[in-house]
Amino acid sequence: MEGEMLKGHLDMIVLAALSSGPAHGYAIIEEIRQRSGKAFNLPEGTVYPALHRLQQAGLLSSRWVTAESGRRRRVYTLTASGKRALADRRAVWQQFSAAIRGLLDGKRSSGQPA
Amino acid sequence: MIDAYLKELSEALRFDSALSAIVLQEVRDHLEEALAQEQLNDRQEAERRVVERFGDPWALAAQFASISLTRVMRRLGIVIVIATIAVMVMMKARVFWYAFFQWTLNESARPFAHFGSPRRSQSHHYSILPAIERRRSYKRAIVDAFSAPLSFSNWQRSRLGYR
Repeated sequence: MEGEMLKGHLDMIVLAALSSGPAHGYAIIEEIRQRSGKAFNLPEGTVYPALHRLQQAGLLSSRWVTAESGRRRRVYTLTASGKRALADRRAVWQQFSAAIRGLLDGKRSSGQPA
Repeated sequence: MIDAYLKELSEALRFDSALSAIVLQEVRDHLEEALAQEQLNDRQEAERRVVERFGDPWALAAQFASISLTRVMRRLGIVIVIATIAVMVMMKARVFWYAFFQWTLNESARPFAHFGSPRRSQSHHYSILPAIERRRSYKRAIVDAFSAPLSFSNWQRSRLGYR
């Protein structure tokens, strides 16, 4: 999928990847890769500024843990406002994608405008 | 190759040393985890692939720059609020100090005496603004805060702009 198109939705993608539970950066990227059927091919480093930005916005919290390998790693968790933001974005996205699908299929939508 | 990459990233993130330390630790963990998942027949080649997948360090640092700027602006905002409160407290303390020693309060300082009092109207609180404006002389503001202008000689008072 196009990188620019992905970047526009990166925050929602990261929030969605964390909806299944706390994870560190590498695990989040793997989760995105697996759940998207390997369709999303962003430079892996792009996820880290998004994680910091979402934490700054209060949508994620983080803590340092020591892995089995002995390395220190940062584990991110969705906060209550992060869960709400994900639900809001999911609703907007579903409305938007239904509208685009209708447009591309050439059908008239009976729902509300996106 | 991972060490060289981290060194370059550290160079690119030198605008914020605290953020740089956190990011470098996270990125090192990521790269080593990614390397552990690679076929290690040729370590150099595996490191090259891992670093390539991670992306350009300068592009990454550019994305962190806006995060760092937001953090700095927030801190600056907090400092400004604290400094404003401190100045107000100092002004109020000066009024109590004068009252305690029964010194006469300079006319331009009188609005501060009632600032923050719930019995005073909001318009009274706005009258503090011209008083602040009258005290724009730095030297005079310092003298006002720490000593009693009425105890000065006429020559000292005229130098500081008091009538």
